[in-house]
Amino acid sequence: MNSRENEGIRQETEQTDILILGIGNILLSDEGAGVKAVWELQREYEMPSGVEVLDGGTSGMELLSVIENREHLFLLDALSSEKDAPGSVVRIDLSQEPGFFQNKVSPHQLGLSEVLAVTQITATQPENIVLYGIRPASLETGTEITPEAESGIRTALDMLLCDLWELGLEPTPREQNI
Amino acid sequence: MAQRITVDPITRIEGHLRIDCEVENGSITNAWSSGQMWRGIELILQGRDPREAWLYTQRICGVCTTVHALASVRAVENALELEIPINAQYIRNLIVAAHGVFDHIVHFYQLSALDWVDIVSGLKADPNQAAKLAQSLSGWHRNSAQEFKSVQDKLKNFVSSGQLGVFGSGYWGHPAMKLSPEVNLMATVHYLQALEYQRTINKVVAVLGSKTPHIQNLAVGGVSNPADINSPAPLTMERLNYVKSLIDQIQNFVKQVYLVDVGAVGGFYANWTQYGAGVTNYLSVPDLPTDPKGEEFMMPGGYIPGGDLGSFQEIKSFQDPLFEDNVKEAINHSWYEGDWNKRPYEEETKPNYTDFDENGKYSWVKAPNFKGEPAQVGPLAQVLAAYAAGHKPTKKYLQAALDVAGNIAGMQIPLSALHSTIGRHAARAVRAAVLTDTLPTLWQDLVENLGKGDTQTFNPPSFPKGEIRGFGFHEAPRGVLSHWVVIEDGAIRNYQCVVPSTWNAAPRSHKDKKGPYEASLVGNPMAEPDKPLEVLRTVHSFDPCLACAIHMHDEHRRDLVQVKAL
Repeated sequence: MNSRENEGIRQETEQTDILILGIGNILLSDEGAGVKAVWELQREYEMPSGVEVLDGGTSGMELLSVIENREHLFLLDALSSEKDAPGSVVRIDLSQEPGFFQNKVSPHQLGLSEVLAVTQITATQPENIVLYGIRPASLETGTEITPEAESGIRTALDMLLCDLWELGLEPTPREQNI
Repeated sequence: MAQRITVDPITRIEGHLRIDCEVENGSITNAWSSGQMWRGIELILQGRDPREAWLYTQRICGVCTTVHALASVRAVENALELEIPINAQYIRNLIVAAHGVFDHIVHFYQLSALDWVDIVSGLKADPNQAAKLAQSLSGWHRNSAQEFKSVQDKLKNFVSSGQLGVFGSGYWGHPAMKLSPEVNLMATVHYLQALEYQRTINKVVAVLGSKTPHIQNLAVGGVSNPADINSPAPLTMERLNYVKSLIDQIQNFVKQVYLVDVGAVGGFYANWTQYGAGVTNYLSVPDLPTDPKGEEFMMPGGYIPGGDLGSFQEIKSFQDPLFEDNVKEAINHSWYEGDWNKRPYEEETKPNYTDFDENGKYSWVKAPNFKGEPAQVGPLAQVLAAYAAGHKPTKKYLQAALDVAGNIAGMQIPLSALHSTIGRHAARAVRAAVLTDTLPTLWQDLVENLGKGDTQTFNPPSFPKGEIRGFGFHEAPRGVLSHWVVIEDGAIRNYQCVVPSTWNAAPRSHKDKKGPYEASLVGNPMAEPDKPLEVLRTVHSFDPCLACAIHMHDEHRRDLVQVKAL
C-alpha cells in the first residue's frame, strides 16, 4: 500500500502509479517547454486510469510528495546541451544512470534532481525514471515558445506515447473541436 | 597574502548568485554579491489584465510560488481600494502560515543544516548516547535509541554502496565542522523526519489552494473556494477537518524538534553569533490580516534602524504610507541604463550588461533601500520587530530557543546574539513556531465564521477609467515581498516586484554602502579558501533564493570555487 492513499486531495487518482511531470519556467520562453508539453498532452489526450499528468512549474521540494513511490516517472524538461541542435530531444533513462544526479546534487539548494536524490535516501524513488530533454532555442524573457522548441515538444510527446504504449497504455485522443 | 575567492554559483542550482571575497590572514576583508541572471519578468505583465497578473507572478520563482501570487492580488486590491471578505483573509492566511512553516523546515534541514552538520561523522556515533542527548533536550516521541540506530544502519548501507546521493558534495571532515558524532546523528535523524513533516504541512496548501505547486484559488477580491460546510462544495467540513488533522500533526515537530535543534546548533556553534551581522537596519511588514481592509494583523512588522529596538517604527496597515513612501530601488551598481534611485511605481527596466566592475556595475540585482538606507529582510527582521512590538508568542519562543542554546553553551545568550549568522537561523525557527500556533486559531476562526452562515469569499473588482496605482506587501518566508502596479484603463502599465533576495543580495547602494550579504561576510573566518564553507554558512543563513528563474537540466558540471592570489 502506498502512503498517498488517504490524502484526499488525490481521491480520483489514488491508484495512480505513473506520473508524467512537466517542469520549467513558462516566463522564459523555451525554458517552459516541459510545462507546455504537458499542457498539450492534457489538451489532446485523455489518460487511462493510473496515469497522472502534472504541471510542476518551477517547483523543487513541493514535488517530493507527488514523485515518491511511483512506479514510473516520465519527466519533460528543457535540457541544456551544447552538442545537439535546438529543438532536438534527448531521451535519458535515469534509472540506468544512477550517477546522473550525483553531479548536480548538492546540500545547498534543491531543484528537481536534488528532490530525486532525496527519494534515494528515503527509498521512495520511482523504479523507472525517464527524462525527455528538449533543447531550447531561446531562454529570453517571454511567454511564447520558439518553433524549434515546439517541434521538440512534438518529438518528446511522440517518444512518451511510444513508451506508454510499450507499457500497454494507450491515451485516447480527445475530440478536435476543443 | 591576500586571496580573491569567487564562489559561483553559490546556490549551485544554475549560477544566479556569485560571491566574490577578499581573504587575508584567514578572514574575509571585502565582499561583492552579484546576481548573474536577469529576470525582467515584470515586462511580461505590461498590457495584461491585472486580474490575471498573479497567475504569471507565481511562476517567477521555484521556491516561493504562493507568495508572489498573494502579493500580486494584494497590490491590485490596494489600487482598487477593494476590501476582501473575512473568509478570504482566513483562507489566504492559512495558506500563508502553512507555506511559511513548510518553507522554514525545508530551509533549515534540507537546505542549510549540512553547512553545520557532518552527516558522515554521524556514522561513528553511539546511537544510545545520541538518543540520550536528544531526550535530554526535548520530549519529542521519536527520539528513541531504536529510531537512531535504524537511521544509522540505513546511512551505513547508503554510504557503503557508494551512493551518497544528496549528501554527496557536502564538506565532510572540514575543520569548521565542530559537532560530535552523536549530535551529527541526531541532526541526521531529524533531517529525515523533517522530510515527512514538511510534506504534511504542505498538504494544507494543496487542499486550500486546490493545487500545489502553483495554487489556483486566488482572485483579485478574495479567493475562489466556494465555501459551504454543509454542501458538497469544494470547501466542506470534511475538507476542513482534514486540514485540521494536518495542522495537529506538525505542532510538535516544529516546537519540540526544529526549535530545539536550532537552539542546539546555536549553542554548539556559539562563536558564530559573532559573525555575519552585516546590515542591521531591519525591515519587515505585518501579515496575517484579520479584518477585510488589512488594519489588524496577527504578526507585526516595521522598520528598525541600526539594530536599535527602541527606534522601532511599526507599519500598521496595507495602506501605510510609511512603507509606500520609503521603498526605493537604486541601480548605480546594477546592469541597467542610468544611475537612479526611484520608487517602484516610477521604475523603468532597461537592461544594459557591461562587465563585472567591482567599482562600477557588477550585478543584475538592484539595490533596494528604505529611507535611503540598505535594509536586511527576513525572519530575523520580523522577529525583532515583533519583539519590539511586544508580541507575546514571539517572545515566548525566542526565549525557548535562547535557553536551549544557553544551556549547551554554558552561558546566557543575550538578545544581541541574534545579529549574526546563527541568529538568522534561530529567528527563522522562532517564526516557524509562532506561525504554527496561528494555524489552529485561524482554522477555528474560519470554521466559526462559516458556521454563522457567512460563506462569502469574493468581492468582485471593477476597474475605473484612467490611472490608478497600488502596492501589496507580504511577509514571505524570506522576508518582505512587495509588488507595485500602475493600472491604466483596466490594463497594467507598469509592474515591479521588489523581492526579499533583492534586498539581501543587493550590490553597493547609491551611497556606496554594502548590501546585507556583502556586509555580513566581512570579518567571517575562512579556514580553507578552496572549500569556502564559512561563506556558504553566512549566505545560506539568509535563505538565498535567486533561483527566481531558470532551473534547467544541465549535462555539464561546473567548477564551484575559484581561488586567485592577489
